[in-house]
Amino acid sequence: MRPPAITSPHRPAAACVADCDANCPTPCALASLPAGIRVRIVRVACPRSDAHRLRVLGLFEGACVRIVDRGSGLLLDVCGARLAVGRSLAAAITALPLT
Amino acid sequence: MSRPASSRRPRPAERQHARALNVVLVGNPNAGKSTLFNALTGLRQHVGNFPGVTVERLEGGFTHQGMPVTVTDLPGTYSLAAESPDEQIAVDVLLGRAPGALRADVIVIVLDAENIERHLYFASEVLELGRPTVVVLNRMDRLAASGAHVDIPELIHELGAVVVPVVATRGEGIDHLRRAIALAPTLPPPPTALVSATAPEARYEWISRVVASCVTRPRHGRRTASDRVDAVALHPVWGPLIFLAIMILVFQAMFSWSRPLMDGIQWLVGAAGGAVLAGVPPGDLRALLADGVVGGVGNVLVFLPQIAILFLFIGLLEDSGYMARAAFVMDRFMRPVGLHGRSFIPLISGYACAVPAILGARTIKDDKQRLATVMVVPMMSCSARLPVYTLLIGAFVPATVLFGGLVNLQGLTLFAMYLAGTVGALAMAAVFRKTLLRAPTRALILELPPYSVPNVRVLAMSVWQRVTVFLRRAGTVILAASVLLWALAHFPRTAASAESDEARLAHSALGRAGHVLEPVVRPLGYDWKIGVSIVSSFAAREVFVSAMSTIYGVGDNSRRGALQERLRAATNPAGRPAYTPLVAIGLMAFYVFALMCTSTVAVAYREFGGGRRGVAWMLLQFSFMLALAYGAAFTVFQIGTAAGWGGAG
Repeated sequence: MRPPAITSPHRPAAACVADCDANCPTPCALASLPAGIRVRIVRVACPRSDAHRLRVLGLFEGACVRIVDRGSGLLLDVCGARLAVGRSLAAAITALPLT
Repeated sequence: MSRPASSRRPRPAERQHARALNVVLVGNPNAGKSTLFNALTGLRQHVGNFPGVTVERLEGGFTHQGMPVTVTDLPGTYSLAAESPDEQIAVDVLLGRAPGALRADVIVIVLDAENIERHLYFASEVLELGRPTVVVLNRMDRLAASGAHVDIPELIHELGAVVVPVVATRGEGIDHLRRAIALAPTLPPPPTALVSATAPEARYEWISRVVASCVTRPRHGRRTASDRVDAVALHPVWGPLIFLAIMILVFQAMFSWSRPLMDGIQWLVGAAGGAVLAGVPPGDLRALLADGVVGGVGNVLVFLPQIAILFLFIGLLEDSGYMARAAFVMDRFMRPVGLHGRSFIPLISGYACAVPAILGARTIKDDKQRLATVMVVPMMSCSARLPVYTLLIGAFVPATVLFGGLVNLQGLTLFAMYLAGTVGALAMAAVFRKTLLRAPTRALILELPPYSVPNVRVLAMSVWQRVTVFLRRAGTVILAASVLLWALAHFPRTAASAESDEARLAHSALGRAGHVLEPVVRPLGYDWKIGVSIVSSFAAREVFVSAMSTIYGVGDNSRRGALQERLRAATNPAGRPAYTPLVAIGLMAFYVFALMCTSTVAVAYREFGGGRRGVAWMLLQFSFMLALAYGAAFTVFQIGTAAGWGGAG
């Protein structure tokens, strides 16, 4: 049950994503990225209900988030709020690291 | 309603307000709704239920220039596309299709100003309903402290609704809010097409535009104080250890800090018993009042301080923001048993009371995970078990000091009981998730609110609400059960009045029932007195203590620990002690696992979906817990006896 991946560069000019200037290497799994960096979400490949929930919380294809911490899961800064996602879910999200 | 609500002097037109203005509070979880609710309504509030469902409905009110206003606090919601039964209630009320037709004249949306992007998502959905709406920007103090600024007139222009900045914790802006609420029905409703499209992405795009024009703030992405705390609190190793340390502290506090207060209440109960003895002539009435009423209810009331301390800690953890972290940290440990980190909060609340805990399980989105959680929540040792544990631990476990005075054996035994219930609950959850409720476990998505210092007033209110629930129980169920037990223990009478208490009790209805029951409880090492106390406590666990007080006739005794002394001194017909530490441990093990609470059974039945399905799940829950309880008590007693740890013989 994978939602259609949005490949078009959907880039809202959000205040929380305003400094998202993508000129970065290759997208990779969110779970594998280090803490402290900003990333742009490229693809959310998880069950539709989870994907919807993430979208409502501001995590969708094109959104920019910051990885605050890594522990048993991932702590993300999404629009200033702190969102904790489990490791398995973080593995299903692809993101581009931003400089 | 053409009167300007801001005018100071009430006008005759106000007398036309025959019915109260109905206001509903909505917002994301952690927007500060409860604090705002308290600031708006003060002490005029009560907890009820939404008709037909068991979601708690917190209602309060205030009067604005002679007009009565009723405020209902709705469950926190992230969007109008509700995902859990809890959110569904809020959405149903907003869309005007709630059971019992709660009519919302004015919708008050609470936003956390610090988190405005996220919170505007739901707000924009609600505004588009086109109903009279007031937008509250809460936590303006924190926003200001972070160096940010909101252009309120511009935001009003963008949203098409009144925006009131407040600091709910300090009561700032509350008068303005009251005025705005009263005025809202007279204003044009907000536009129903704020956002051009319905996709979340489009909504966030709209939000970015609004925020860009209304909010100025230093760049995002700073590491906040909360982040620095979380680096430790969410650490894979330190996180669980910190959590464990907090839990041990809670149990230690429940046992030792409550002592002086418990002594005080015990003294009052003793004084009441003394007054009965002095003021009422000898006879049945005096015995009923002294043993049945004062003894039965008084011996349960003693545990009020422990229950208050437990709820105080749960409130502290919740309001400080730590509870969400605990769910995150514990997700790792919940996953192997097929539960979600979110199941953890209901389980922890189960330490206080299974009823709100089962209701709290409504925040779990997945149906099977929720059912599994509801099935095992009653195994978490609730506050009603405390009286039983405390009575038995106090009587049979020495207060040996361990680890240089840090903890004692009594506190540790109590902790062991809670641990046994918790481990049992997790194990049974795993069993259910592998059999009847098999399905993949959903991913963890959790918003962590910033840490904050709990508001004393809000905390006090929530403790007070729980305490009154306990007092009401003591005054109704426990009182009725105590009086009934007393009657059963005294009638029918023996012919000769000079016979011993023991013979009189054996002759009574309670005594006869106990003797019939004895073969069932004998393998557990219990005599018939314990047997009847257990049976009578199936209505409510605390009744066990009342039953013991009635059977051992200690209502007239003003000394603390009188019941415990009698238990230690009690012998069985063979002349050996009726209670040994082994019997006490086995008895506690029974209480750890048995589902003895009519309220829990009733709530669980409704949460299982009611009807036939509800009955089936409810019976399954009751019987597996009873089987576990009997099995645990049997194992403890039989193994203990075989090992020569002193059975009751």
